[in-house]
Amino acid sequence: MSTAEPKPAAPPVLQVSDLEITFNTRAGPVRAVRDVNFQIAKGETLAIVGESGSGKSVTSLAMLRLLPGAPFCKVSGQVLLSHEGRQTDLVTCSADDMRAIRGRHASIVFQEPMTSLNPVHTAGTQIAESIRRHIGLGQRAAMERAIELLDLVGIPDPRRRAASFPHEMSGGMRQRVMIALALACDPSLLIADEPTTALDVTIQAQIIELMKDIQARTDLAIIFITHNLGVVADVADKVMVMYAGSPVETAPVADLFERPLMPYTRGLLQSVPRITFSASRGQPLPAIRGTVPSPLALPQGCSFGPRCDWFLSGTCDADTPLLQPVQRGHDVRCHRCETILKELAIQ
Amino acid sequence: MTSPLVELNNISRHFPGKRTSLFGPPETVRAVDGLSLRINRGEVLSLVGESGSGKSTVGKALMRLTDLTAGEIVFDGQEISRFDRARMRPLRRRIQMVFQDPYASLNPKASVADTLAAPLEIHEPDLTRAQRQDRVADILETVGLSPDFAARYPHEFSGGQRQRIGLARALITKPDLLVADEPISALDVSVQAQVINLLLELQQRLGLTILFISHDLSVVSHISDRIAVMYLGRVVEVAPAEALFRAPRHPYTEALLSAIPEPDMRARRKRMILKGDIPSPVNPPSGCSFRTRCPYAIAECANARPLLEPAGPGHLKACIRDDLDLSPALTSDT
Amino acid sequence: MSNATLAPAAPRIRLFQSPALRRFLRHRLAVIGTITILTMVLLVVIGPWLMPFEPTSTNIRNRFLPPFDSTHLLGTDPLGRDTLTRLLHAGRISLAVGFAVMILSMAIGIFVGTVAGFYGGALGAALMRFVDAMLCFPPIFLLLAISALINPSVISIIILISAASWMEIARVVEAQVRSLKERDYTVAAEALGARDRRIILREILPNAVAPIVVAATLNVANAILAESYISFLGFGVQPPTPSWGNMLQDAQGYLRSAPWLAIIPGIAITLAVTSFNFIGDGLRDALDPRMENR
Repeated sequence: MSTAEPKPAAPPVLQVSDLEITFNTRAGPVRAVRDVNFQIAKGETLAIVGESGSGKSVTSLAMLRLLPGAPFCKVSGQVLLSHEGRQTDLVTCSADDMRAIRGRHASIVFQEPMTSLNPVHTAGTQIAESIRRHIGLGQRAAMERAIELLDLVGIPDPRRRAASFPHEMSGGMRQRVMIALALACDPSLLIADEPTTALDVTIQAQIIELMKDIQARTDLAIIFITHNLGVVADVADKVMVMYAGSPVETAPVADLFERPLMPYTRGLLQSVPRITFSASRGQPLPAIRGTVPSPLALPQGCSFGPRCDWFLSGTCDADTPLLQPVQRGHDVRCHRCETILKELAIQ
Repeated sequence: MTSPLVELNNISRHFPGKRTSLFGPPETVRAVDGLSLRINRGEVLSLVGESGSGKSTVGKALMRLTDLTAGEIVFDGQEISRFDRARMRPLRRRIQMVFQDPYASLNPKASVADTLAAPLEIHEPDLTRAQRQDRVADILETVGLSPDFAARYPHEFSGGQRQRIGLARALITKPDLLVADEPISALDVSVQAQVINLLLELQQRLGLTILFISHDLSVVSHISDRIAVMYLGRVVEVAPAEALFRAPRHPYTEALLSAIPEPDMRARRKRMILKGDIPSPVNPPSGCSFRTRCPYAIAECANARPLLEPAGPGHLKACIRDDLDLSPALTSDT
Repeated sequence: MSNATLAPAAPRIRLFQSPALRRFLRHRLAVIGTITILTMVLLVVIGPWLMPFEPTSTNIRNRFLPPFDSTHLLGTDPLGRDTLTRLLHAGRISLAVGFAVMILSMAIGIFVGTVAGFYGGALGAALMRFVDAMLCFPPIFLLLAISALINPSVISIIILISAASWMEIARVVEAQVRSLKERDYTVAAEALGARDRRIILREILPNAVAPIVVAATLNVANAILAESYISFLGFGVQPPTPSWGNMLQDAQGYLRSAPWLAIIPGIAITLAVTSFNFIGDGLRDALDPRMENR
């Protein structure tokens, strides 16, 4: 999972083109997300990185149609999911098709497991219920499968734990149950929306290890949404960095950390404190100035412009840059990308 | 060396938990259980631990926002753990606090000027209105905000700006000690660095002593002089920052260091994954409380609670196994 | 760290564009309620000055005139008194009782609720159990029992109704104070060494205003209703002083022959009570920022 070697060409599990999400607010329509394009193959992990307000979570919700529908919100573009040799566009398919796909072929795990699990049912019942609904196993067989799944996600004494209620478990345990629930019907795509953010570091390490392990065994495609660059380096094959609603850089994970090109990505990587005791210790961290713009008032041109050290008046504030390939598999949305590349070459 | 600014001597804070039977006594939650720590003048001491380790309770106890069950707190030579409110009041200007959540720590109905003038009204009632306004403007500038912001209300600010206001409120009385309880963990990644830089700059400029409470070891490595690692209400290791990362002496420290996700492809290390969850502080394991998750545990670990013993210059650890070769987070070349 | 690194904060919000006011104005029923109440207050304050009749002046020749009579717009009662004049004078009493009860019961309720919520412990528990005990009595029996024992006057009616209606406010305030006491900004004030009075007045109560205001509005409605009850039953405001309640009582005997005598004060009571309830609903939504996008 973490190796950066190119994988053999396989049909993408998910192909997203020109995804755009608009919310109708009292202050007028707000384009929360635009220009999202990516694809993800079997056994691959795509990390979507961004801060709050970058649109990363909204993107994940839109892919499974979990956003409020019209008139509050409008989703356009294409989200093609391959399953059982067919392709379904999750933006336009019927509500019945969507229900049959959700939890069966594509699942989602959220940040806060306590609010996503039903507090009045036991862990085992909730998993078995999903299996019965989608696959049609009998009650007993579904419960046996649920216990197997709890075992798979590393819950000790799964038979006893299957009879526990969510509030009787620790945060790490609940997140394992959520993952078991997501994997219950052997989906081809798992969307994990900040699955480790609410957990302690040692528990986070456990969950990440678990997800890698499951992926190695089932060839699952994972979309991992996070704000933590350390986690990205750990889990991802490909990375998509989002800022103010649109992707600003996509690259294989090694490239992104070796050679980040978009000034936002560069700033983000530099501003994360690392364990180091070299001369830079105690020195100010290179911080990105300013704050994330409100989606109601995006700056003209490049939305990162006002916070950018490379900002060039007349170019960057003139028109919105496009996401363009700069190197193989490495796309960047920046007017000044060429200049940045040259300067990097000199260094 | 002068005397430390703060000494926490064997402090405990137990909370009553839920009742197990109708007439039985309630359970005891041992949030902090016999912890000793000293904070030297002018240093940044970080207190690191996972949720449930009791690190925030230590901060609250030091602020005298919660009473101790046992032990003593010595601040600048005075034992303050039994002080009543009136005797605490003059000391409060010298011990201040920054909170984790910048959205919850500012009164939404008070303007920035109101919030910042409050400490002055309490501790320096002789100031005139104009003098107070000057001090408010000064402190706003100190934390990197425009003095024009004084008339505004918290909802008009971003998280990072609010955290600066919180810091200004803490610093306006010119305290000696700042207790910072996870001050950046609720902020956006790109804003965290700004606040860390500000804290470091102010610490140096104002000669502050900081108790920095955090779960994030990468941040801690950047700003601390010394680091104390907590597990289940006790300190298991204290060391100068660099020594802790280069030569951890407690297995829990090793596991914590190994679990830090590093944003660097070259620094990939072999992970050490701990088994299980933190045990409940209601009935912690006998002997060493980490032994249930420790890969190096031996039978003797269950016998007695290990004491903090010297393990190098300025380095203390609470582990009976001296024979371990624990892997550091840093090797000599980094 | 320079100032240049900071984006300017959002512009200040002025009162006329305050989000709470905007949300309130969007609540159609609440706006209608407000207009109705303001009109009623205006009418009962200046109306009696403009009327040519006294509320107590009888006229045996003009008894039981129906409404829309040429001189008596809303007709006359069994003693030939002008109904409109009496309605306006009665409105003064009834609305005044409503507002006075609101102020008095707010004062008691906020005091008890704040003390119980802030100090908690045995004192708080004792106070709140007392509140619970008071709430156990059906208020109407409590009111009737006490008013039967004393000599009713407008003042004593106000005190009585207040004594029976402060408990709800105390409960609301207690719950608010207990939760606001745990907020970080309250803890921060404590860490600064602020005294209790300062913490309560500066940090806690300003943030509890919304639910208190809502409770107070509903309180006025209930007080008007309570006054009508007991006056209707004859234990409230005593004739010849008119109130909406005792006008209803006077009309009792003539429901068949002169139904308007009951209908007119009935409409006044209904209008006032529903208007206050609508205002309460509107305020509840307006003061809750989570309602913004509904």
